[in-house]
Amino acid sequence: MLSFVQGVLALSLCLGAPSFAQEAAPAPDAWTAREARHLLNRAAFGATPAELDAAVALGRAATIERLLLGGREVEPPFFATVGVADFGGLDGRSPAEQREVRRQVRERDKGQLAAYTHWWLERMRRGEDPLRDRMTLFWHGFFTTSSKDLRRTFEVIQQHQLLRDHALESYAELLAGIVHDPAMLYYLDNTKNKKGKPNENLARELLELFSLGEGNYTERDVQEVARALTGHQAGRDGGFELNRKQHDDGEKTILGRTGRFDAEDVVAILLEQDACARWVAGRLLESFEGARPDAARLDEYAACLREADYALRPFLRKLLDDPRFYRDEVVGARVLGPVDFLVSSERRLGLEVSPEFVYRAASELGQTLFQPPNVKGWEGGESWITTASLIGRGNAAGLMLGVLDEDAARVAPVAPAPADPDYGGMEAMDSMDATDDMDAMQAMDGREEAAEGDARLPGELRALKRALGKDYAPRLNLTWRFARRGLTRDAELAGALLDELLAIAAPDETRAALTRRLAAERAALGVAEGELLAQPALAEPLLRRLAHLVLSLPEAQLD
Amino acid sequence: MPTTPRPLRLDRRAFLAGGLGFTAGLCLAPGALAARRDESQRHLVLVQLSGGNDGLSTLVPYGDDAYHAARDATRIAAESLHRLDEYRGLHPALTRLAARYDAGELALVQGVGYPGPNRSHFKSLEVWHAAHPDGRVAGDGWIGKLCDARWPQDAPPELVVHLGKDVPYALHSAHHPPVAFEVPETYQWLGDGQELDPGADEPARGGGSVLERLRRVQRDAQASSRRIRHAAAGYRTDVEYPATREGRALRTAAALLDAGLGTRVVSVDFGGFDTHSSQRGRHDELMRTLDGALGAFLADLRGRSIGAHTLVLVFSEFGRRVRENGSGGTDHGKAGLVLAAGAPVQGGLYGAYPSLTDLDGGDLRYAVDFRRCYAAALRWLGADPTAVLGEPFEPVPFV
Repeated sequence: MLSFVQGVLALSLCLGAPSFAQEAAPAPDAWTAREARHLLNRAAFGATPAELDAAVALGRAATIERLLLGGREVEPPFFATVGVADFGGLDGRSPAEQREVRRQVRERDKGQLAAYTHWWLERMRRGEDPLRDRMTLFWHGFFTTSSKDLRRTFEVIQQHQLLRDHALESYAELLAGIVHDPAMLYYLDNTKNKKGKPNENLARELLELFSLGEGNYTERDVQEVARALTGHQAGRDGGFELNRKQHDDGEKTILGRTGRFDAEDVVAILLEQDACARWVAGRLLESFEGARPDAARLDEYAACLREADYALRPFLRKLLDDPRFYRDEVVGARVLGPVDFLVSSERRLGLEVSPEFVYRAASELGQTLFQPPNVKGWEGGESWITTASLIGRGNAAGLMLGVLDEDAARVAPVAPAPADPDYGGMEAMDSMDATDDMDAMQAMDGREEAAEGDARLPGELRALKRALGKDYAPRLNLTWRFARRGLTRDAELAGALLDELLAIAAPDETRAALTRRLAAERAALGVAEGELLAQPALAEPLLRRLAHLVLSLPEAQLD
Repeated sequence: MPTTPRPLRLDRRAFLAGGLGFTAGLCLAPGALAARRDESQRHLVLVQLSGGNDGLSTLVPYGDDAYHAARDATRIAAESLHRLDEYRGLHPALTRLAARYDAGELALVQGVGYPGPNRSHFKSLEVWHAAHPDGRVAGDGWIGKLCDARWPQDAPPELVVHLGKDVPYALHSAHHPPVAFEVPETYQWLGDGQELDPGADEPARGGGSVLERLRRVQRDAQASSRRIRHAAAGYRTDVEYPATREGRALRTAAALLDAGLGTRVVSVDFGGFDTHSSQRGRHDELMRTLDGALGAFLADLRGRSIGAHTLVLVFSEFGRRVRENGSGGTDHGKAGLVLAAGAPVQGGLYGAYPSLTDLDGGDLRYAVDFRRCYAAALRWLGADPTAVLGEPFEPVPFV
């Protein structure tokens, strides 16, 4: 099957060389660059100018269908249960050897989740099947499980595959799957939910967060659902197991229905509730539009889910084709999450940075993949932006662009901080820290040197920089990019930077400010207006510094 | 062993004060100019124990037979406790806090909750953060409302600081959005030259588009970055804080308050209290972490002038079920425990220990509305509690 990008690029090639999006010819079905950009911001991970042109040419309906097609059969990296047996077992070994075996187990186990995370981030970057990746990210924040609370990574990856397999297909399948999903059963303590000794953690969150929403069930319902979920356990092989001895098969009354219900019955009962369709529709609409829908619209979309038996493609098709999805209050008014910000910036810049960098940077910015902060997932929206995260986003962009000013870190002398960099808790997996010890040592070195006024970066930023790779240099040629387009004037160059790097249309005052800055810096280099691109050695560093300014703007946090 | 909690200070004061006592406290009494100047230097440190702290394992009612009957895996042996009287004792790991209690600088408010208790973490946290049963639909968080009531709109951005990544809803404020960071060293934009400022007009406070709000955040970040890094880097203390996230956060809190940046409220979030299974070891560790960090902070403050002006309030969204679940843990409950600590605090016990037998759906019944704790802090800070809370609540007289 043709991938999304291959498809749109092939089409754009048929239509001739890509032109800049704003100038593209009108599309067959009333479809503007503004709408195309919005669709690809929200349903994909942002668009490069070429992708935008191609989508405009393809037309709205066809672009939506292509997004919805979403190839399901994608080969994930190999993952397996990892145990001491894979390293020859512990029998007959000295304590030191046993420690070494356990270390190897941990390393391989963490390593496979790291590899899997990298694979997912690379898929987002490549954009072959962006809507499935985006929806998987949505479900990852909806049916949350944190790898921190699990003993090994096999179940974590297995759950992600479940979310991925049904991401565009069916909420009903997801709900049925999640009450049998070993990672979830561990995460919400259901492996300890036994007949006569109920543990209601999963039952409560199943009702509150995974299906109905708070206020649409009683405490009695929670207790009865917990009984229905007794005996749902997981085996050593990582598969689901129903422990019949621990299962309470007595009569239960749940949401007004009485019977000897098991988990399948509970799922069926939940799916019958209007509250369920409304809850799921509301969460989806909020995710795509950045704001809660009004009551009438929520009803309309909840009905759409119900009528399709919770199939997701009809819902998404309706939404992405809905004129209200393109209204001014929605376009450009959503705050990008950290993964979104990083991946879409990377895509718009045309860079390829290491997925480990994206993982770590997103984590610093408040979104650690596979470790949502709690069972509710990431809060999202404007809560992504704090004074520190805004600074952090700018610094991450600066690292990607290779323009971070390390000397500036010298301005404030930094006192030595306590040495222990591990505050993830006892069972924290710190998944990607395969080089923990080295990191810690280097971070400490950094602190000592910084304390002496050295211009080294503080620990977190140094770790981020290292994640880019040893000899990282951004593969980027903004000078060529703009020269080829025939841009010369300061205002044209500033405008092009804003149009290409921002997901939203920049306000006039921002255009004017960037133009002024560019003019001032160009003049300081002794270059006349119109001559900058003719001196690439001067132009490229300047354009990159300005690109860094653009990605540090509040405007860059919106899509 | 006696199973009836002894009568407590709150009751006496409450009857004494009647309906008017606390409003009188709001007005500036004659000769209160010094007190007012004093109020203008006061700080509040909010410590949130996220997940629902088990009050029964924090202030343990070891003298109650019902406690021993309800708890097995999570039961804490009486002899290991810091006994406060013949009925209750502090968790064995709370050594430093027990010492503060003995010194009269730790108040324990028992049986704290709110009407119509909700066992959802998120709903319950919203109620605590908004100081309103409707949660966040009630508008700004209670600290945001405090800012509006107490401090001018041109207060420095560091007025309210959250030391962590996720800003709690309590700090949500249209007019005084908090500064938030976890590590002072990286709280710096490292670009070449200045960030771009389009010089757009500052929108009306609290209003504006999302872009205008983000621009405000950026200006606050620029204004506070250098001051905060200098404050943290220049801070010297003989007190050794534990090398935990919590210890580091409270060390930074002390540095900020000591530097006099105009910070009035600091918020920190200690997580991990949702102990549905294998609670004993986990909760012991949580108590060690709390005691280590908060104990160091209080010790540090004692040697500084800010110590006399700093009130620490420790809370959690709910307590936990009286009867253990089948997994050696406890499920979400209702009434819980609030701690108030610091030199300004009148230490001791407030409220009655909730009955372990007269339960509400298996949970402790609350007797003290949490807003009465807020009211005490608000009044002490020089704000009108009724203006902030929307209705009058009688302050728990711990400060």
